[in-house]
Amino acid sequence: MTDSQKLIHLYLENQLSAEQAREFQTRIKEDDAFVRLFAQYGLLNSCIRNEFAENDVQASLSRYAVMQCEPSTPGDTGQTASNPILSSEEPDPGRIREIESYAKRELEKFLAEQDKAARVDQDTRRPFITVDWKAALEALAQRLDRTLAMIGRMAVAASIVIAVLLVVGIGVDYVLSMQVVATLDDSSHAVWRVPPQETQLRRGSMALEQGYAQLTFKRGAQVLIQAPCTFELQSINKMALEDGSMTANVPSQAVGFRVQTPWATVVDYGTEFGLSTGQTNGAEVHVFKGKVSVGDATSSQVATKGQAAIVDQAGHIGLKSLGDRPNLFVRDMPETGSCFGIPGKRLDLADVVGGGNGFGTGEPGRALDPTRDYANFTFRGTILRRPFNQGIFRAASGFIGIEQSPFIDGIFVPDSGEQSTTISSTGLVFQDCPNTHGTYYDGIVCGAVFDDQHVHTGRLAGHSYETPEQPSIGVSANVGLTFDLDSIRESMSDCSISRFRAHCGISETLADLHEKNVYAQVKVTFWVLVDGRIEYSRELGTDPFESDPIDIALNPGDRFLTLITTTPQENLYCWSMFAEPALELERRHR
Amino acid sequence: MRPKRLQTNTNRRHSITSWIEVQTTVSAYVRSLILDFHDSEDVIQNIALVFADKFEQLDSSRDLIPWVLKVARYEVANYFRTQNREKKFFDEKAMHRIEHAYQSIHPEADDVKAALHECIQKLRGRPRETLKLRYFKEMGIGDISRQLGISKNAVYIMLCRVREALAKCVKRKTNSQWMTS
Repeated sequence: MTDSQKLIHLYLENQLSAEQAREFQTRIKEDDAFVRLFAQYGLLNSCIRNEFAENDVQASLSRYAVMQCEPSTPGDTGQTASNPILSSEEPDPGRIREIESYAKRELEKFLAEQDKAARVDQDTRRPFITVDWKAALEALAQRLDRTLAMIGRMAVAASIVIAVLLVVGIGVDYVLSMQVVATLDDSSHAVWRVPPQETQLRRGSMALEQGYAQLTFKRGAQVLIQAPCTFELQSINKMALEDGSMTANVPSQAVGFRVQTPWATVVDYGTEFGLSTGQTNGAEVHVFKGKVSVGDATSSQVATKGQAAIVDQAGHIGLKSLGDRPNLFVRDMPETGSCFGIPGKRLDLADVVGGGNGFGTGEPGRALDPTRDYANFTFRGTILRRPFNQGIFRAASGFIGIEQSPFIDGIFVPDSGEQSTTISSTGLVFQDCPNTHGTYYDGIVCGAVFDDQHVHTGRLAGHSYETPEQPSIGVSANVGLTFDLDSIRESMSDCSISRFRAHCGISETLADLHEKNVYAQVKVTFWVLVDGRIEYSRELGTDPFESDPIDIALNPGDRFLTLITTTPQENLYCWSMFAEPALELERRHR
Repeated sequence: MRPKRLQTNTNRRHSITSWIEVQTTVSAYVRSLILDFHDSEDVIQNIALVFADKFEQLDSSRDLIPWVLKVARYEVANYFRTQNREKKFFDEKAMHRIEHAYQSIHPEADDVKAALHECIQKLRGRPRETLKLRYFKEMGIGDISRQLGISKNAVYIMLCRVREALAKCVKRKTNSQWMTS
């Protein structure tokens, strides 16, 4: 072995000493013969790798061929007992050539079909149409299988079939799609379009219709997928997010973890981040730790901890502070049963009131107050920072937009007094608004919590709503709250909202704390409006305690959902609540 | 901006066959710069995607290999950037020369590949096993030495010898000036 060869072998095994490394670098730059030799050994090295990778593929293809081996078609006689492909006999060279030329023609046909399929796909404008190499290979293997059976059932070794495949050129780099790239660690309420057969995941597309799934890529990146989500596993450290939301936790060994979206590519530099994207609404990246780069080959921006990068439909990337953005991302897998909102299935409006995304990222006890947008409110604690329980009935101050949550258009105090009651930022008016005192008692609270003698959660029909899986909204009359359904739809681009459901009524805990004569006269009318139309209204009283289910169908064109409570009297003891307020979700089928 | 789509036109057939023409050389180029097989696989796949994406814009009379090696150089540089390497092993001049060397050996690549396919069939026993651990199981010298219960140096020597034997065999079969320093 010459010195040159020795240096190259050392390089390939990553064993160069510092001195040898310097010599190597110098000779690459100055010695023409050496750099050529380096390329030749590089080629040899790469081809050896291919040979061994192919062996792996060969084994899986052989299994595949067994599975795909079909019973003989009429006209074909016999030949089911021994599969020609798996026979170990050496074939003769003439036949191999025959198979090769046949295989080439078959490949031509196959590619022509792919072209046709591609044209169809183009019509439907589906993005991320990549050549599905695994499918291509399998289809070709299947066709060859049949073909070989037809052209005389020649005995041919599996290796020859594989050689033929490679002759016709299905690249081994693509064939590596057989490799496992990630594992499915955990899931919660998960409904898949095509459920994975095993926890070892290979390259390819997946669609989570409901719930959560947690994956760990082989290189170490942990990803929490939130339904509805369509994504593609591309390698041990790379994926594509076609639409949906995910968070990623990337340890140091997986630095460089990459997520392609239709709008930009996110490259991680060791961090935790959330990413959501869709076909129509750009992409948004929230960086919780570390930094990521967002962009494409021509331009990119680096977002650091506490920043959000927003890619709009024009491809412009803007940076904002996370403080201005709502809690869009679920960062930890919720325990099964610990959440009322389930991605892809049911969105929790109480969580939205708490500043969340409807899937448990909000804070219980957080309140929307018609005089100040948000006020702190401790759910179970004894200190209530919001000075609400001082017998002061506050007056209405018109429609108040809520900037902090894109899902809430605004809040208001309903009254038909001197001015009409505006219920949306677009100026919709509550036409049939009754006369009220124009005052309210509490804010609108995530979790119907009442503070009278002691802090406690509300109860309807004997049922106490006090855990995260049984949420409620506290709405002491007179208050109204309008959700922006369009913003909610935008946050989950592949879902439609089919119904609004809740239970409403006045909390029975009144009876635990007070004599009947104190509360027997309390009556509250609960209203649900869709784009200003009254879809539900009912007066509920406390003698006896009444509660009522609400179930309203929603159409894709409906934008504003408004919940209102009014009372004709002074608003004392109007402990009103919307319990388990839910938007039912349905996967939109394209 | 429309959401990005990969090429779906009728050119695809040509794109696939063209990729097949260049992939042996491109893979070799990438693997000689990124020694970790998993990482190099990633980068090769990125190059294939760029190839599929940009193929239709290419002037068909142009030689493919210089173009695709340029794409490869860019993707390799990208990879090293994400690795936060403090210092690059190869500087710009070295990268340029290596790229040029692969360009010049490209015409031999398919013959070498075919010859190697035959040569490797003849390998048996410990040499084959060692190669398999290195190239299929993707183990480093240290891991292989533990697995086989021999010294690291012995593993290294084994790998050198096997590669040299394969190089000789390929040289004989291709009947070329290949592998002479």
